[in-house]
Amino acid sequence: MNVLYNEYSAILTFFAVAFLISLIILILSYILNPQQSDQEKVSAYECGFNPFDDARATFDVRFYLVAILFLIFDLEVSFLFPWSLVLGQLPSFGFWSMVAFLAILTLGFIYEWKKGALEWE
Amino acid sequence: MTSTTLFWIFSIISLISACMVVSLSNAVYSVLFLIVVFCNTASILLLLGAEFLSFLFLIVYVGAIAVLFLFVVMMLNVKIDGVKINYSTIFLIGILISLILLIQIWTALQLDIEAYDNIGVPLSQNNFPTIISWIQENELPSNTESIGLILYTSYSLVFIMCAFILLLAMIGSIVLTMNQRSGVKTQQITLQLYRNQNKVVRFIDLRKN
Repeated sequence: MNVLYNEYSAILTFFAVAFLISLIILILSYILNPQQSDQEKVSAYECGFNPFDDARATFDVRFYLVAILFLIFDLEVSFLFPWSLVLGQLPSFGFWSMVAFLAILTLGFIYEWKKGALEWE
Repeated sequence: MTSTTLFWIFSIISLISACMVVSLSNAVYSVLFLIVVFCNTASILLLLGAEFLSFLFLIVYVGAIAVLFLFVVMMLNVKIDGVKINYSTIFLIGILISLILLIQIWTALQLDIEAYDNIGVPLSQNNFPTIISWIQENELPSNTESIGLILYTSYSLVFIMCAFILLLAMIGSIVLTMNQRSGVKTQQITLQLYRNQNKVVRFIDLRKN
């Protein structure tokens, strides 16, 4: 056993309660509701006219680019987190290795900025 | 509820969801089940005491990589389904890859249990340490701190290599997906602000001509 679990047991309890409540609501609404199936109920709702296209259309690749760039900076920030926690105990070499890390990624950021990858035309 | 019970619950849910990922025909549903697998694996890491890795798993995999997978699925043409794949050709390769993975996991597990023996933490019958070692809890740095203490000094080379890999991913994704469309009308704020009424508005006397 680990002492760590005591701190997270509250979160686990919350998860269990949320799961139970959502399950109860789902089952009750399924049981208590009068079930009358209709073709119009399951069809896609469009305002006034019949739907003329599928909702799963292929979309622009730029959403993908934004997600990848977000992922990279997300990782950069998560590398910063343990560094900031132990900065007082690290030798100066540890400090400068993080500076080098940030410098390399800043090069990429400058490239991205100049290329206009973040701009939405 | 002991940690072993929780471990069983999380691992069973993640195994079932992993089977659902590969067996469902709708790709969007498989990505959603993949998110369930990631969440349960993060909980198992939390049970092991790897706090930082667990939350990193949640942030990176659930927050970003699952979104990327959804984008990829949306970009593919998902309307074509019901394609029959001839499973007999990929069956052998699948067995080979899973055998290699099984051997790797097995060796890693053996190493872990030996390491517990070396520390001197007594093992229970099912090879899990059952006592709280209070010296470890009070004196030794936490999981996040111990990662921080070695990552930036002992493993600084790996750390810098990681920066280069991230740089490569950044530049590669920009090069692959950027397409400058020509003739797109955009708002240029500096030009708008520089625009002066003396240069733009002219009075023309129509009577004279």
